Amino acid sequence: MSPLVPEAQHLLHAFSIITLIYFFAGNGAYTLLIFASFPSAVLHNRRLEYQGLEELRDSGELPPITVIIPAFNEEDSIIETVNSVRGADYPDLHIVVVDDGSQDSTLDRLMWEFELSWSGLIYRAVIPTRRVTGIFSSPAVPNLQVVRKEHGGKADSLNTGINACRTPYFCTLDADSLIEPDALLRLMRPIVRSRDNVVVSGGTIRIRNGCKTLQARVHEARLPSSWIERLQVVEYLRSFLFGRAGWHLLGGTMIVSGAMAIFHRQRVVDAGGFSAATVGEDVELVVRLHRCAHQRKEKVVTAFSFDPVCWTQCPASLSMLARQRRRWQLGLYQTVWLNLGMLFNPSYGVLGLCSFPFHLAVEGLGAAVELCGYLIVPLAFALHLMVPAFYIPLVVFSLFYASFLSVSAILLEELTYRRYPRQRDLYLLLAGAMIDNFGFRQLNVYYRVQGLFRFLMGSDQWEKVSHTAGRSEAAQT
Amino acid sequence: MPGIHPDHLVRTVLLLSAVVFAASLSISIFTVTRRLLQDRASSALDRAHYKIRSILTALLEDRIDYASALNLLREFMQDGDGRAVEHALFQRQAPPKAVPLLQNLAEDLGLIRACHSRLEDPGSEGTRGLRHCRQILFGRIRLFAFLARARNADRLGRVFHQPSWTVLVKALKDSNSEVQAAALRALVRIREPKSFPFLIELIRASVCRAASPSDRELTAALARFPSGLAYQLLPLLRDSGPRLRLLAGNVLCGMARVESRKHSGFTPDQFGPEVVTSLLTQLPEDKNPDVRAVAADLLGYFRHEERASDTLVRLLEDSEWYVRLHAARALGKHPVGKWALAVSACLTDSRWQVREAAARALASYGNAGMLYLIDVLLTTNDGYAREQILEQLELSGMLGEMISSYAEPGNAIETRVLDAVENMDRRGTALLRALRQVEATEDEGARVS
Repeated sequence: MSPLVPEAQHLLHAFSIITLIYFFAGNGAYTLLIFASFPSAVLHNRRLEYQGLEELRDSGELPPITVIIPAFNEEDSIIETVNSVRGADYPDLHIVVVDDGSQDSTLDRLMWEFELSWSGLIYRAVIPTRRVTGIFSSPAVPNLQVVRKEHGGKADSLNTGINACRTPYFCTLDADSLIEPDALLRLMRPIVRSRDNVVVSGGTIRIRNGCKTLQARVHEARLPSSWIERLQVVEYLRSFLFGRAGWHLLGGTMIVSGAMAIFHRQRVVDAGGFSAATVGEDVELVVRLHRCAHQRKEKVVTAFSFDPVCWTQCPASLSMLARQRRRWQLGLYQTVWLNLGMLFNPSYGVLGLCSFPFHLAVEGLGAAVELCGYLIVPLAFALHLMVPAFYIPLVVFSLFYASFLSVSAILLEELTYRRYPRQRDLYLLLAGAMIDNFGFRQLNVYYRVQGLFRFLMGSDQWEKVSHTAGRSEAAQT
Repeated sequence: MPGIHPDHLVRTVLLLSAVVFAASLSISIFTVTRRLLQDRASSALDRAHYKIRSILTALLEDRIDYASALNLLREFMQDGDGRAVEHALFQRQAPPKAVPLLQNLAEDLGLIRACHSRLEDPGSEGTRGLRHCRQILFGRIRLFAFLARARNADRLGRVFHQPSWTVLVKALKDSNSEVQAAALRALVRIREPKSFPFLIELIRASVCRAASPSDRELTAALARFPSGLAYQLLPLLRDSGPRLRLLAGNVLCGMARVESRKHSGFTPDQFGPEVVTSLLTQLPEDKNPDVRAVAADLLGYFRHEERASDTLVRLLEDSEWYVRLHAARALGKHPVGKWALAVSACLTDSRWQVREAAARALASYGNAGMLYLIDVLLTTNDGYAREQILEQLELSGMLGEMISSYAEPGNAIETRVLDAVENMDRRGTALLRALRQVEATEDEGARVS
C-alpha cells in the first residue's frame, strides 16, 4: 500500500467501513423481508381458496367507489384504460378522467368514443387546483365523467379528481394501465373486512409490455421482447413480492403505488390532498396520512394485497427508464424530507423505526454509497491504496447475493401466482434474475444518483415517461 | 480487522459467494423442475376433472343412475384422484339444480364427514404422495393448521349442507379469525334458521368485547337470513345500548335490501307486527342519531305507509345532517305525495349531500317531482339550490327536452326555466349553449338522413 497519502488511506478505511455497514444492513434487511414475504405470500395464496369474493360482491357492504384516471397526452392508451375500468366487476363504480390540459387528442378521443358532451355537473373545489375548464359527461355512459383542466401536473389532476368524486373511496389509476376485472373488489376487501382503520389499500403492479391484450384485458401474460423490459419485470416481481409483502407483514408499509390504490376520500381531503411539492405524490400522501392520523392520535393502516393486479407499461428505452428512475428517487427524497419528523420516531411504530429509516438509508442513500464504491474501489486499486484481495470477493459476494434475491422472487412468483404460463418465459425470467445485477443494476444506481443530485439542486421537475416504444401487442378480435 | 487474518476473511467471503451462487442455481433448478411437475400434475387433474364432470353431467341428465355414478366416483378416489373429485363436488358456482345431487354425492363419498373431522382436527386428512407431505407440513404445524379448517368450513357452505350448521356454529368459536369468518360465510350460504339465535348471541358478545367475528361481519351475515326471522332481533332493538340497537337496525336494513332486490313487492310487514311497530315508533325517536339514520333508511321500504312518510318528513328536519340525508333518500323511494314539498325544502339545506339527495328524490317522482324542482329554481335566490336543480335537470335529460321545445307557443314554463338558467351564472349559459349545439347537430343529422 502506498505510504504517500495516509489521509487518503484513512478516508478509504472510513469508506470501507461505511460500505460494509451498508452492505450488511441492506442485505440483512432484504433477507429479513424474504423471510417475511415467503410465508406471507404463500399463506395469502392459500387463503384465496376460501376468501368469499362472490359473497362480498353480493353482500351490499361494498361502498361506492370512483376511479380517478389522470391523463396528460395519453391518446394512445386512455380508451383502453377507461374500458378496462368499465369492465370491472364492482357493484357501484364511477369513473372520473382528468384531462390535464393534454395537447394531443386525448379529450377528442374520449368525447368521440363515449359520446360525451359539455355538462353542467357540479364541481366542488374542496382542494385548491388549477382552473377547471369543462366537465363532460354522457347519458350513454352515466358513470363516466371527464374533467378538463389547465395543465398542473399529476398531483393537481388527482386533486381535481378528488374534488369531482362524490363517493367515500376513490381509486387512483394510471392512464396507461389495465386493471383485472376483480381488482377493485380485491382491493376493497381489506377495507371492508379488516377490523383496523384501513385508509389506503394497494395491490400488485405488473408489467404489461409484451402481454397479449384482448378487449382491454390482459389475455395472456408474456415477457416483453427486449432485455431492458424483461429485467424490469424481474425488478417489479422483486419489489412487489418481496419488498411490499414483507413490509406489509411487518406492519411498515410506506410505499403504495399510485398506479392503482384505493384511498379514503375524506381522510385525503383532511390531509390536504396530493402534494404538488413532490414528484412522488403517492408515497408522500401515504406517509402524510399516517402523520395526520398520528397528530389526531388515531391509528390508521395501509393495506397491501398481492392479488389485485394492475398491468402497466414500463419504459422500453434507456432514456425513458432514466427519467422514471430519477423521478422515483427524487420523489423518495422529497417524501423523506417533507416528513423527516417520522424518522426514528417510536410513536410511529414499525413505520418510524424501521421502514422509514430503511427507505432513507437503503433505497435512498444506498445508491450513492454503491456508486461511490464502484468509483472509489477501482481508483484505490489503481493508486495502490487498497488490497484488491479482500474487496473483490466482497463485491462478487454482494452481486451474487443480489442475484439470489432476484431468483428467490421468481421462485415466490412460481409458488404463488404463476402469471407467466409459457415455460420459455420462466427460463427467461430466471436468466434475467441471474444477470440483472451485472449491468442493469449499475445503470439504475447511476440514474438514482442523478435523482439525488436533482433533489440537492432543489429540482421538482416531473419527467414524463412516454411508452410509444413499449406498446403491448393487441390480439386481433 | 483486528484478530482475523485477511486470508481467512477472503476465503470465507469467497466460500460464502460460492454458497450463494450454488443456492441461486439450486433455486433455479427447483423452480424449473417444479414448473414441469406442476404442468404435468395440472394436465392429469384437468383430465380427471373432465371425466368427473362428464359423469356428473350424465347423472344430471339422467343418462346414468345415481349408484353407477357413485361407484365411478369411488373408483376415481381409490385411484388417487380424490382431489379432483373434491374440486368437482365442492365447486364454487354449481348450478342450483345440481346442488342437492352434489350434496348427496359428497355425503355418500364420505367427503362431508371428512370436512367435519378436518374442521375439528386438521391432521386427519388421508391422502398420499407429495400432497400428503405438504399437508403434514401445512396441516400439522399449528401455525398453518387454520388453512385446512377454513377451507373445509368454506366447502360445507359451497354444497349448502344444512345439517352441518352445528359444526359450523362450533367453528365460530375457533381460535383463528379466518376459520370463524369462513364458517360464518358458510352459515350464510346455508341459512339454517336454527343458527340465527347463535349469531345474535355472538353479536352481543362482539359489542361487549372486541370479539371475533366482528360485529360488521355478523351484521352482514344476519342480513342474509330470511326476513321472517327478524322478530328475533327485537331484544336487540330494545336494548339500552345504542350500539346494539344500531346493529339490529343495520341487520333489518340489509334484510330489506336483499328481499327487495329479490322481489319488488317487498314490504317490511314481513318482519312481523312487533318489529314494524318498533320501526315506526321507537327507532325514529331514538336518542342516537346513527340509529335515527338507520331508521330513516328502513322507513324508505314502507312505501305505502303514510305514518312512515310522516315520520320521514319529521326526520328531514333532524339536527344531524346525515339523518336528513337518509330521510331524503328514503322519501325518494316512496311514491309522490304531500311530502314532496318537504323534500323540496331540503334543496336549500346547508349540506350539499342533503341537497343532492333531495334533488334526486324529487326527480324519482317523475314529472310531478320535476315540477317541484322547477318551482324552486324559479323562486329561490339560493345559488347552491339552483346549481343542484340545474344538475338534476341535466341528468334527467329534461333540460335538453326543454331546449327543443323552447319558445314554442304554449311552452311558457320551458321558456321561463331556460331564461332563469341563462341568467344564473356563466355555467348555466355555457351549459345551455352546449345543449343547443347538441340539439342543432342532432337536427342537422336528422335532416341529412
